Amino acid sequence: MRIKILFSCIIVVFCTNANSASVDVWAESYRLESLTRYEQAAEALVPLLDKQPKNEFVLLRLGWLNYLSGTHNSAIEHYKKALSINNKSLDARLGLTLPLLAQQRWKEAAKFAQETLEIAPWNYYAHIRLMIAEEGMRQWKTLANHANDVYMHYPSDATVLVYLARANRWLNNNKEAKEAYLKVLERVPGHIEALQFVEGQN
Amino acid sequence: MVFIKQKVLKYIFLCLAIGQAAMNPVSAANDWSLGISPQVLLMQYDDSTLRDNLRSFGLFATADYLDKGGLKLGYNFATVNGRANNPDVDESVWFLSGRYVHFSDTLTGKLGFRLDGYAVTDKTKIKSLSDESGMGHNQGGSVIETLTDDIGVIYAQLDYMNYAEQLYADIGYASSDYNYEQSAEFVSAQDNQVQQFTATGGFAFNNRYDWLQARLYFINLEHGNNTDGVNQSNAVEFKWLHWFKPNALLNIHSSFVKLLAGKRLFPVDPDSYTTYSIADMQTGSAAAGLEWKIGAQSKFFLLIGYDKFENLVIDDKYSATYVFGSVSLNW
Repeated sequence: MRIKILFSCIIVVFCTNANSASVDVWAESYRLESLTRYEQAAEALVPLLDKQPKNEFVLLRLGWLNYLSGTHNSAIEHYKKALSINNKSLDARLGLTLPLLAQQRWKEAAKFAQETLEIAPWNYYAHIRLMIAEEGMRQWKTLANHANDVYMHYPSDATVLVYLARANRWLNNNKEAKEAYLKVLERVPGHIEALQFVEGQN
Repeated sequence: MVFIKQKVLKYIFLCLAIGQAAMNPVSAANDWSLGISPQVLLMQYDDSTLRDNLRSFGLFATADYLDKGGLKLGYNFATVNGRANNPDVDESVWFLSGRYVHFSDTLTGKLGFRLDGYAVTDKTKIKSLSDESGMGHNQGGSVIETLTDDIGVIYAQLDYMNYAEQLYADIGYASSDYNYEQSAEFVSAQDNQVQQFTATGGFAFNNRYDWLQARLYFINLEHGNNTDGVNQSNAVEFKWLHWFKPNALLNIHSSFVKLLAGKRLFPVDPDSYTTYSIADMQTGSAAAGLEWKIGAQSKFFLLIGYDKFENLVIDDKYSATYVFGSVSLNW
């Protein structure tokens, strides 16, 4: 009986230490991220990944930290692994768009943004990233229509209006571009791009 | 030798295509973007002893997989009409190209690997007068003997473009194998092998509305027996592209100017997917083109050009003026 109690105590202590160690790892990773030491923040999680190669959250976080540290291929790899574990994940799809856009892989980024929108049609981030891809592919008419549509759903947002203004600039629709930039200035009075364009038009 | 090379080429590209498709077997169909591009070239030779004009028709088909690469398949048929009794030449070209793009974090840019193959057949139709009637040449009928030459070309390229799309560089190598049919009756050219090295640099300016590019050509022939002893040629080609803002004059999307200085023998032009299989030295070239967008996905391209050539064997200097048009339809 005593041996059983002793054995149980050992197990409890071991598990507590293990969980504590895991929590410490997460805390350390967040601390390093807050110091913009992204590579070290990612390295702190590697032992966790070694133990649990299919830990979805570790993979998502490694995707994010690798994106921040500029190792985009590694970020893409981790996000794709996370997506293969959970095919419903919007986090993984939206995460993937970030390094893909950084590498100017417009078509692939647009693909994952569109997949997100198939599941969540008015997801703000998916729309913004799709607009970035459309801008990269110089699809100005598509971007203008898209930005106008998103603006109707997010009328207080300045970023959407910036894309609407840029698309109209490229389409030589200066009147519409100025209207959009003026709306940007109502929301962000010091917006440099909008100020420069409006001043240039006056 | 050429046929073996061509078979190997076909095998390589078949593998490339299958491999590309197998990389992502569950990919959605819209991961592939497809396109076709019919094209026409009309050329008129001036002051040429041998040639009068050239008519050429081609069709290219492309299949691109997202941003990662793609395949291009093309066929072109050209007829060179000889002046007076000089031979006509029919040329058919099959072209296959594969491209893979690697996205580099270290180099902060795209590294492209490209492999092209050309299988060219030139049929030279030599006209001669028959005296079967036994009443002399003037009374006999015209006989055409066809000589078939096979040319196989492999071109490999490594290129780099930074993510900001402001800097570009590539190095290319082309190996061309010329296999001429030998004739007992006519003087035939000797089989030859041509190696070409190219180095290219380009940059964007004017907020990426303009692009300037220079390409150096270094071409070496195995022998100069068909080219009056000349077995090497060097040239530099400059290109300037300008993109217009929307609603520009005549709704032009972009313009293009090309100049060539130096001399080229049997060059392979990787931008226009062209091999110059005629054994005449190109001694200069200038061209200007315009491109229009037709809808969101399609384009029309028109090019007018002027080339100078020299037939080294008969010391025949001549020029050629041409018009090239193509439509690219993508979906």
